[in-house]
Amino acid sequence: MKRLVSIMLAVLLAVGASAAFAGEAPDEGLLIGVLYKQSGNAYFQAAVEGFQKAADELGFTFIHDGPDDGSSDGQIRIIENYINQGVDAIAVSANDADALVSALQEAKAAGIKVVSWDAPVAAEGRDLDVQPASAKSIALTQLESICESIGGEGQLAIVSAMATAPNQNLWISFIEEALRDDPAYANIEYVGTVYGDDEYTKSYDETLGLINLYPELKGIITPTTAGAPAVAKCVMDEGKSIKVTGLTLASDMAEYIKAGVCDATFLWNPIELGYAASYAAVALIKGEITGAEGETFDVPGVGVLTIEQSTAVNDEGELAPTDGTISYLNKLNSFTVETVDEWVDIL
Amino acid sequence: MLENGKTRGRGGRAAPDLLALLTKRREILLLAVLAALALGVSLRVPGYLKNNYMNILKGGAINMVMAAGMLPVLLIGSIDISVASTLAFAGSVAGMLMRDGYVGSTLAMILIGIGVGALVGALNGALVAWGRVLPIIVTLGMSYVARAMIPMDWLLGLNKIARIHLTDSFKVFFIDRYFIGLPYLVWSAVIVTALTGLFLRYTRTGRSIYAVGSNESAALVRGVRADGVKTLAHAICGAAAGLAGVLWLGYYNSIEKSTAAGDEMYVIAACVLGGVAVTGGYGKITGVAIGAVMIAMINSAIPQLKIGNAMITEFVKGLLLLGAILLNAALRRLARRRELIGRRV
Amino acid sequence: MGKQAARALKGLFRWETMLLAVLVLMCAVFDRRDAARQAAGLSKKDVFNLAVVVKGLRPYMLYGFMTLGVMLILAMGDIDISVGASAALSVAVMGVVYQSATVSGLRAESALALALLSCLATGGLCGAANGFLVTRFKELFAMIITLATQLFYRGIAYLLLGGKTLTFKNDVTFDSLKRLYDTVQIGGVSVPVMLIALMAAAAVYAVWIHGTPGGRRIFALGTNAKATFYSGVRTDRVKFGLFTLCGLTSAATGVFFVGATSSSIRADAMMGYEMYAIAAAVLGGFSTSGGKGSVIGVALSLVIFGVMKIGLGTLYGFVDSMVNLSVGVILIISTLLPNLISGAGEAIRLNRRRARANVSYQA
Repeated sequence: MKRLVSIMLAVLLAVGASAAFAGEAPDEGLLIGVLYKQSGNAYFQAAVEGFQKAADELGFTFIHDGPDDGSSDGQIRIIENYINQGVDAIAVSANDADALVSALQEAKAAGIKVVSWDAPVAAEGRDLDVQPASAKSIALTQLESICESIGGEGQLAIVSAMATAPNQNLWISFIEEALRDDPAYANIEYVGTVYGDDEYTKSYDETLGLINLYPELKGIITPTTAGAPAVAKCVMDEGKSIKVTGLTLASDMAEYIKAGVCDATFLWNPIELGYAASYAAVALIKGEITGAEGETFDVPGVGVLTIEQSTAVNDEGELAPTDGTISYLNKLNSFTVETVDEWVDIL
Repeated sequence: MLENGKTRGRGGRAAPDLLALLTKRREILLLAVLAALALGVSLRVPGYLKNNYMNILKGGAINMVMAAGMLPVLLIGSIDISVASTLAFAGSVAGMLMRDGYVGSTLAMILIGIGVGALVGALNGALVAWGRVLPIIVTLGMSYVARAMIPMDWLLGLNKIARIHLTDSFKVFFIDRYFIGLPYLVWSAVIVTALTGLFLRYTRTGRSIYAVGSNESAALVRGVRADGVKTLAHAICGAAAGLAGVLWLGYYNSIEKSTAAGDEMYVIAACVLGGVAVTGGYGKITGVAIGAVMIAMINSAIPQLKIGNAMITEFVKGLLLLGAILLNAALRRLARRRELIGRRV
Repeated sequence: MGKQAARALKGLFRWETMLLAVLVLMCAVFDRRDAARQAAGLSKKDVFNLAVVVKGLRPYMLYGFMTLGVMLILAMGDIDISVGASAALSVAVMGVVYQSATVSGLRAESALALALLSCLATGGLCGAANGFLVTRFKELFAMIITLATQLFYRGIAYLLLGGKTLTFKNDVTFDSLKRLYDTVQIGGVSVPVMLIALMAAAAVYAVWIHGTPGGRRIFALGTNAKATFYSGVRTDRVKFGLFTLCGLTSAATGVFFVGATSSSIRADAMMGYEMYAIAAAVLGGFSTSGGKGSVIGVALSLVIFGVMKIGLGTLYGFVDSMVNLSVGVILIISTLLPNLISGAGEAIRLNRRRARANVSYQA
C-alpha cells in the first residue's frame, strides 16, 4: 500500500517538475541575486522595480526572493541557493546584521560581490553598503518636521520597530542627541521610545499605551514603514490632536496626511535605492570600484555617489567610524497633502 | 482512579460547597481571576480600566470570534492550528476582491470571509474525519499552505491590502459605527459568541458535537454521523476564522502576509483558560469568552505595567496557559474524586 | 525466528526503498532539467550535481537532530511541538552563561565548555519537564502540553535576551562554533560537518531503536501502551526518558543553528522548526499514531526535503513561499494517502468477506 503512495508522490513530483516556470535567466551577461527581508512586502516589491529598471538599462538579469517567515536562517538558505546558481553579485537587505556573515563570506570566497542595501550586514560580510541617506539626515529631517508640526514645544515619543533593528537604533540615537543638545528643541520633552516590532497590532497597542500614559503627548515619530499606519490609525481612533511623522509609504499614509494627523512623512525612494544598489553591484563586478573609501560611481538621475567610511553607534551611544564602507543617496522624499497623491501608486 | 476514593472517604462527604461550585461553575472562578487581574493592574496604573476597557474589548474581539469557532473543534477532541493562517488568507481574498472592485458592500465582504474560511475549515474537517489524519498534522500542513498562498504574487500579483484599497463605508463600519455604546466590531464578537453558544446548547447538531467529543462510539451507536459532525465543527472553526479575517481588515484596515502569524496559540489559550477540555466533550462558551477577554487584558496591561523588558508578555501568557491547563486538569481530578466518593454512599 | 526477522527486514525496507526511488527519480528529473537549461544556455553553470547538492544540504540538516528526537516521540504515539522553543531557550541560556562566565574571568575555553554543557542541560530540562507533565497528566494530550510549554520556553528565551541579538564579536573561542557549519573535503566533494555528525547520530539511533530490545520497546509502547505496560515495561519511565532525549537533541540543533548563523543568538531563532521536524519524521514513515517508522526513512526524508528545496529553488525559480507550500502539501498527502489506501483496502476486504458470506448463505 505504501508503494502506491510513493508512486503517486513520484508522479506528483515529476508533474510538478516538468511544469516550466517563467523568469528564466538568459545565457551570458551578469546575474544578480536580490535578497530581501520577507516576501510579500510592498516596500521590497517597490525596490525590486528599481532593480528591474537598472537591469533594463545595464543589461543584467536578476532573481529575487525573501524568506516566508522573515528569518535569518531562511535568508541563509536563499544565499546558498544563489551561490549554487552562480550569481555574480548578491544584493541583500539583512534580517540580522550578524547572522548572515558566514554565508556571505562564503559567497565572497566564491568570487561573488556582496552589496547590502536597506538593512546592512556586518562589514565582514559585505563589499559595500548602499543606504538612502545618512542616519543623521534621516533622523533630523523627521525631527525638524515634527518640531514644526507641534509648534516647537510639548511631549514627543518614538514608536520604533524591533529593539534589535540597527538602523532604527541609529536614527533614534541621533534624534535623542539633537533633542539633548540642540537649543532649537529645548522646549520639547522627549518621553521615550516604544517598540512595535513592525507588527501592526503591537505597534497599535504600544501607541495606545503611550497615549494613555502621556495624555499631554504632542508628537510621535515613527521611523518604520510597517508601524506608521498603525500609529496614525491609533491616533486617529483616539481622536487626539497628536501629530505623527515618520518614514512611511505614501499609500499607507495618504489618508492620514489628508486627515491632518500627519503634516508630512518621509521616505527615500525604494525604487531609487534598488536602482542605486544595482549600479553599485555592477560597478563592483566590473571592477570599476572595489568598495574602498573615496571611490565614486555614477548612478544616472541620482548623481555621483562617494564611498565613505561606515559609522555605527558604540557602547557610549555615540556614532563612531566602524569597519566597512557605505555610500548614501542622500535623497529623501516628503509626502505632504500636495505631493502624496503622486506617490500613492508608486510607494 | 478508584484508589483515590479509598483513603479520603470521610473528608469528601463534608465537602465544602465552594469547590463543587468552582468545578461546576468555572465562570465564577474565571471572573474572579479576571477581576483580580484588573484590580492588580489598576493599583499600579490608576484609572486603567476606565481608560482601557474599550481597547480590551476591541483588541479581544477578533480573538474571541476565533475562540468561539475553536470551541466546537476542541469539543470533538480535535484541534485547529491553521486558524491564524486562515484569517490572513480569507481576509486577503476578501480585501483583494474589494481592491479590484468586484465587491463593494460590507455584507458581501463578511459573507466572502465566512465562505472562504468555511471552505478551508471544511477541507481540514474532511481530511480529519474521512482521511483519518491526525488533526494537528492536517492543520499544520494547512497553515503552511494557506499562509504560502496569501501574497499570491506568483499568481495574482497581490502584495498587501492597504487602506486605500478599501471602500470608505467598509473602513468605518466596524470601528466607527456604534450600537448602545459599543462598536460593531465588538458586537460581531458578541453575536458570534452568542450564536455559537445557542447552537451548541439548543440544537440537535450542537448536542451531537458534545456527544462525539465525549464518546464517539456511543454517539455512533445512537445514530450520530460522527464524520459529518467533525467536518461541520472544523467548518465552523474555519468560518469563524474567515470572519475574523474580515474583522481584522475592518479594524486595522490592512492585511499582509505575516498578519496574525502565531495567533493560533492565543486562540487555543483563550479556550483552555476558559476551561475547555482539550480531550473533547467538555467546555462552555461563557468560559471561552471570558478567556478571550483575559488574554486581551494581559495584552493591553503588560506594556503599561512597565515590568521587565517588552518581551515579558510572551512569558506571562505562556505561564498563564500552562497554569490554566494544569489547574484545569487538577480541578477535574478533584471533581472526579468527589464524585466517586459521593457514589460510595 | 528467521522468517520473522526476514519479514521484519522486508517491512523495514519497503517504505524506505520507495523513498529512495522517489529521491533517485527526483534527482534524475532535476538533472535532466539542469542539462536542458545548460544546453539552452539558461543557466550560468552546472547547478545540480553531487557536489552542489551535498554541500547545499547544509541548511536542511539543521533540524535533523531535532527530527531524531521528535521521531521517537511520534513512535510512542505522542507529539512534541515545543522542540523549536526548547532549542531557542537552550541557546539563549548558552549565550547568557558564556557571557557571564567570560565576564567573571573564566578562561574562554572553559567558559565555552560550561556554556555548551548548560545548553544541553537546559534542553534536557525542557524535555524532562515535558515528559514529567505528559506522564503525570495522562488525561491531557502531549500536544496541548507541549503547545503550552512552547509558549513558556520561548517566553523565557525572550526574557533572557530581550529581543536583542547576542553576539560575541572578535571572540575567537565562541566563533569556533562556526566550524560546525564548515565542510570537509572527501573525494573532491565538500561534505558538511553537520551532515557527517547527523549521519553518525542517525546510525547510533538506528542500531539502538531497531537493534536492541530497549529500542524496540518504544515501538511496542506506540502500538499498544497497555500491553507493553503489563508485559513489564515501565512505560512512564520510557516516556520520560524519550522526552528528555528529545530536549537534548533540540539543544544539539540549537548549537548547530548558532554555528550556522555566524554564532549569533536570538530568542526568535528556530521559529517553526518543530513543524519541519515533524514533517520530516512523518515523510520518513513515522506515523503520528505511533508504533512504526525507521531511522533510514527519516534520513532519506531529510535528504529528500533538502534536495527538493534545492532543486525547486535553483532550477525552477520557486520562491520561498512556493517551497513552503509544497512542504505543507507533501505533509498532508504523505499522511493522508496511506490512511486512504488502508481504508480502501479494508473496505474491499470487507466487501469480499460479505460477498463470500452471501455466497455461502445462498449455497
